[in-house]
Amino acid sequence: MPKLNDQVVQPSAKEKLYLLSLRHVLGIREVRALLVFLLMTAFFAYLTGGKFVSVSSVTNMLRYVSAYGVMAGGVTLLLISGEIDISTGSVFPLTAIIAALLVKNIPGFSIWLAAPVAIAIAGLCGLVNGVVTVKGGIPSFITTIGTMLIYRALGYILSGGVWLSGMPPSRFYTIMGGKVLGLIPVGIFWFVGVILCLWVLLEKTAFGNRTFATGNNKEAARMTGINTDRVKITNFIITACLAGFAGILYFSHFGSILPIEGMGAPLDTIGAAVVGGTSLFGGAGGVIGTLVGVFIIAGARIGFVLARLGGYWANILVGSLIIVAVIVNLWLERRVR
Amino acid sequence: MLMGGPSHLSVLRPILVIREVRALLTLLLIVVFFAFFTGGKYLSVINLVSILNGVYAFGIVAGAMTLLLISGEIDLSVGSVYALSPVIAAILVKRVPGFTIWSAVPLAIGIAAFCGFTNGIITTKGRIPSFITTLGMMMILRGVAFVLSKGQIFGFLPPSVLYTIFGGTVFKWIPVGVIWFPAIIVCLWILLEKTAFGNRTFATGNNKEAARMAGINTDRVKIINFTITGALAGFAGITVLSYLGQAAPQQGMELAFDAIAAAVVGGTSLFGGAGGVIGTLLGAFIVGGVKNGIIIRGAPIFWPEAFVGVIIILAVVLNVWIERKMA
Repeated sequence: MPKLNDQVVQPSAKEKLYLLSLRHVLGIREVRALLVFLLMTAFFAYLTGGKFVSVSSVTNMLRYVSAYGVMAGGVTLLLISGEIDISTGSVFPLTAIIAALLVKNIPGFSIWLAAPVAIAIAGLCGLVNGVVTVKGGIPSFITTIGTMLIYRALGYILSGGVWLSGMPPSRFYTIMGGKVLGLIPVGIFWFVGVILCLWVLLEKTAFGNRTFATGNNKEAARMTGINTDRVKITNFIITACLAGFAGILYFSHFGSILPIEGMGAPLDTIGAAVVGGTSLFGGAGGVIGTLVGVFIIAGARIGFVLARLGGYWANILVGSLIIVAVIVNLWLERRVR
Repeated sequence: MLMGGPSHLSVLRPILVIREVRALLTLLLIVVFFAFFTGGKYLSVINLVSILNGVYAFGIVAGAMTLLLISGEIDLSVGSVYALSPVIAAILVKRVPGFTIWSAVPLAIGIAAFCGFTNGIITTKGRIPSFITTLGMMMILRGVAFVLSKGQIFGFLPPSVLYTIFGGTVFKWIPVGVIWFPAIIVCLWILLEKTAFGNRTFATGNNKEAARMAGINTDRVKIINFTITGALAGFAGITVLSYLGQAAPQQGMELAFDAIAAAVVGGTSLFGGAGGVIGTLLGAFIVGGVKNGIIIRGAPIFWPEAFVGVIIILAVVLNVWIERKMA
């Protein structure tokens, strides 16, 4: 409610009517994303004769959401600050590979130490992304296309191209990748937890403010004294750390990692952010929308597999969703301004 | 313009300012480097033919991509079009009665051109950044290729002269694509440097608003360049189909990166408004040469693509730096 001289001004009847109106409600990006999700669920439930809402399919979805969702959250912050990261899908397996190798090859090195070290290295990858983009003056999608290829190669080289598995048992894996009530992957709680932390960071801290300002209008933000370079680099580091964290979650759940994992991640995470209402041009968006967006992408992938149509239909749908979502978001934003 | 800077730089300046010279120098450096480290094996006839084999497909696409980059847009979906086009042609020939390869190929290339056209329409009329449009289309078209082919590789097509024209060999070893590639580059060069359309392409990429005000229909320029890119990506796919005798829906996953790297190393600016296809031709050989050199040295899978990534970043940084110093 708008405040006037410390007195809360009550909305007039007309204003209350508007707030309840379809126009206003549909203007909220999280609502739009939720609607798409419900539509899609209904579509797939029909297509698969109800199998889509079965326990096993839902658990599959939760598993997918946990890994990619954490990444999508980081990507959302970066998009809001006006940059993009296509290398997340390569940092994802690389981090798990580094952690696994540390545990296997250094006697006495436990996963409790290896995981944070690996995530720190992931942060370093993000730092490289950020510095090259910001200081080199290169568009971020070019930098991160380059680093995507480089980090992917590193993953292959370090792991020798083989499947890494057979880790000594540890409580760590249960906490990061176990199941609650024998069914629900613990990763989903990590995912929601991360999203909440990101929400607080974005909406309630000065850093979040600076992120929005940088993405909205970099020059204007600079003139108000914001160090836009630092904001962007920090967001690159956050994105890469979360990609690494996601890799650790995945590795803890499945017990193994292949260097080829995560190839679809950049598209799916950016797709999730975009479908969830985050603008590709920066300055607008939110992690709650991304949360819904990840469920939409996960649902699409699992739905098509369940409907016996094969995973590639999912690519067609996700690709189309991205394009449509960007057009719709742009159109709506123009109408507001 | 020549203010400041060390004196030795001003001697090199007039030479280095020409992007084709920079690209040629880079190519020579690469050749010398790999020849040295492989004890001459790099320069053997077999290896050179191997390089040529790998270069012409993405080289053709890189040429088209150059025009598109100069007009200020990018196309990440070329790899998917490159796979989809021969898949469509193969399916038509094998499954649809009445289609010979002579009628299937123009249709397949036409569909490829239409994909490019769609990229153009969505980007210009939807006012979306082209890398998003083409990222989405890349997923969509790759999905279509897999769905149509049910994930299988198509081979054993009935023999035809068409395959010899587009995929035969000259002098026993050299794939005919090696002649198509420079021929297409020359055509693109004429289009870019000698026609009004080429002028409009440069103007659009340099400053879209100014070009608009000068009466140029920038949307149409971009859409045409997108269509050319799609058509040539499809054509490249057909040449590979002709040479290998098979169409695989998973081919060309790195094509977009290789093509972009070739253009960028050849001096084309990612920001639009500057570049050239001759540089791209040299750039294609640089990228192909580096990939080949790395493979010869016995590096494991994905190393070559990692180096393509390094090349892209280095080339862009260098070009930006050089252009700043020369301006």
